[in-house]
Amino acid sequence: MSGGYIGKLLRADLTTGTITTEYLPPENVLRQYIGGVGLAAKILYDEVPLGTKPLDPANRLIFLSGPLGGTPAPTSNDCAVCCLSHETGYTMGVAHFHGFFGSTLKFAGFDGVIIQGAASKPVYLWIQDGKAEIRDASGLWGKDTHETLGMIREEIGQPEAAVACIGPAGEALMNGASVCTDYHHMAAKGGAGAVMGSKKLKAVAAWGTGGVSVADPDRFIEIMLEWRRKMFTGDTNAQMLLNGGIATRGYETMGNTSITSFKNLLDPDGGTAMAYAISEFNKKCVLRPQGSFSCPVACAYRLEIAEGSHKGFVATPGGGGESIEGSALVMGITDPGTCYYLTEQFDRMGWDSATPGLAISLLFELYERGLISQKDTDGLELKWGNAEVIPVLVDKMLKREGIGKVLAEGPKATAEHFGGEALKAAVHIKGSGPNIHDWRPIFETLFSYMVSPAGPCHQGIGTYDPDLGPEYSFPQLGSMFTPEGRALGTRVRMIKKLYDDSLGVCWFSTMGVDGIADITCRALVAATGWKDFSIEEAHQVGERIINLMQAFSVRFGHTPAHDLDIGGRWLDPPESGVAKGLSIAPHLKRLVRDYYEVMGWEPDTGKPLRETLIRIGLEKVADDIAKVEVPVKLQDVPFQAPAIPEQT
Amino acid sequence: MVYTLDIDYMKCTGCQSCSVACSLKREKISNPLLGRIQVARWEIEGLHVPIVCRQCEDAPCAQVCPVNALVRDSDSQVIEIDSNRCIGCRMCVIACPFGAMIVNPHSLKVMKCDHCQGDPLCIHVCQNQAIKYVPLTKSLYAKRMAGSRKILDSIAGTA
Repeated sequence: MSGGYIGKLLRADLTTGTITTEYLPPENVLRQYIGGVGLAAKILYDEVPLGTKPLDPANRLIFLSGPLGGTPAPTSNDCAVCCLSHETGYTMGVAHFHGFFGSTLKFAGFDGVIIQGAASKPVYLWIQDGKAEIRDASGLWGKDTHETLGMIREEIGQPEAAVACIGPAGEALMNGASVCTDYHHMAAKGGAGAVMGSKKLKAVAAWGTGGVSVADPDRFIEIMLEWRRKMFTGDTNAQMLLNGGIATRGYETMGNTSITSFKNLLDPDGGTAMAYAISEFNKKCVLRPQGSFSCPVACAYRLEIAEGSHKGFVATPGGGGESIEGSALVMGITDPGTCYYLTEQFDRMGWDSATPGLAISLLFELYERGLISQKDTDGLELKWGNAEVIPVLVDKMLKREGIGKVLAEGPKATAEHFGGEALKAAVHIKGSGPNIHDWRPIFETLFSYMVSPAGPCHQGIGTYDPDLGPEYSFPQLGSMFTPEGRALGTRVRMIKKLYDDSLGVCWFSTMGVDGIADITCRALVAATGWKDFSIEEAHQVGERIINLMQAFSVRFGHTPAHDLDIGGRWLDPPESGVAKGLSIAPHLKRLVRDYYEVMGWEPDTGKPLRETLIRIGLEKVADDIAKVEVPVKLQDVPFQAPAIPEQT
Repeated sequence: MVYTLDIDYMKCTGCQSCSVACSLKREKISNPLLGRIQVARWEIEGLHVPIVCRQCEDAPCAQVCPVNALVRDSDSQVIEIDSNRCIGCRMCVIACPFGAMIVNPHSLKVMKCDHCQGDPLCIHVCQNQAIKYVPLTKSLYAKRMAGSRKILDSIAGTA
């Protein structure tokens, strides 16, 4: 095995209790998919039997690092967490988490872990120095994600073990359940938490004394130093997020762009005010940035609340801004301390707040507008900002009790339960919560979430990655409020994102970094010894992964109707903010067609064309989908965007 | 001139970039356990402590070494391990009050920080400059100025 990789995968069949070690595919296959999301996509495509449902034992749950994982490359901690998506049921579910799990897995002797089957009682997997065992987790079932981490480390006697675990939300198979690691980090999208829960797998713990070999150590050191330098040169994402930067600089940026979701997206200016308020509040709190393995950014942070009713409370958020919106702002909570308190509760439940939060916020809106009453809400008064009812509703959801039974299925199911105005007010994409900001002012991001073959999130799509530079031959296209160029932009950013996500490093080390494609290619060459690996080959890797994911979706029943499956509120022009009165909605159906075309897919169905698949070496996939008849054509999808009022 | 690895503990985020970079440079493999600088992580408190040899003046490691394998360079004052003499008894590991003596768990080789002959890689990967490599006199000057600023501020505040 060349450098970079360990060369081994661990496979655990929980039905039979069998653990096996497998070798990675040969170099020619690795060069096609690299690792991370790419190799996971290949495994899912090859192994998940057609007709499988997300919670069936036959679904796979895959944890995969990549060839740069565990090296001194910046952010070499990335772990892709992939499965047949529980959010959609017809796409791959793709998430990434950071912290120490991905790198530690390699030090423990494996590039990745494939979980299949389902245990009959709760178990966890303990991986150490090339060996693994399935252990009883009866005493851990019901524990939250923080408690579980501590209890497992104590039980195995390894205080530095990395632990990926689910909380009560994953155990209860909730829509939006996530996998948590190292207090701050969530594999939030794709429903991996629910899939893990269905396998009765509480956690995977890893630790080891091994290392990652690198083909040319001296060259690799030079490149990683250049990479680290460029991450903090110019307008990069790393720069904004440095040292828990989302808590202050980040929320200010969000305020400036009117993307803070507030009151179920009814009040963009209210969201902006909250973004600034949270930023100011955090400047008074004790904030300690928390680095993931080999990460110079340390976007995650420990925050000790300085004042108010939650004074002294310690929150452990990740480095993105979304969680607090889904946990609190969409319900109109205005006290920053309470926002952090609620965010921490969702994190401890192992629940990506977007999906439950947007179901709850829809209920709030319906109640506030008088469309439902206390008899629909189990007697709860759902006034904007009423934080007390949120834990009550969460508890009802976890128990699927009363109104909780409806909410547990997510925002789209909640809208369908009430019908009428609820459908117009719902905030969902493909049934679930996306990475929740109010994306209406950033046309391309909203669009790309709709068509992402990884479900409604930025894990399949490189949205809002700024200037991609000449190496991507992508022209900069005017205002973000024009539909022009959005299809091509989605294609180009997606290709970059999926290649980057196959390397074993975090997206925050590549976003907005000048010359990054060249840097990552050189790093890959120095790590693996693939001397002639080029940027062109890297682009083709990205394109190959996206096509494989799309072909997977087509085989699992994806149609163009799914790409227009979006809650009504997204189609309303924002009431206020920088994009007041503007909307991409009238262009969406055309953009979906443009996107299919620019991807080399059938414009009416989104099925990858044979010639496209052949060009990128996916002949077998072309054969697989040749006979698949996509049952719905784009032109037949009943999609009506509301009329946009004239601008004054 | 005598240099020191100056550490600002409040700036460390616990990322272990220093450990893993050190291991690749010196041991030619990427493994944080083989870094001659280690990070003790206190996750609940959210504080992390880089542990690296302080090149003690009255070094316990050198004192307990039965074969005098720990030798101080008269120029840099850095203590280095003479691998020809070292018998691998790990008495130095026991004696070091910081836990700064490193043992490779596979080869059982004992290692310690020797400032990379005046060009330590760890400082270049520490984004927050929690680790700096500076002349000892400058380090002391900086400490003195920071400490006196606090005194000044408190005097001005009460005056």
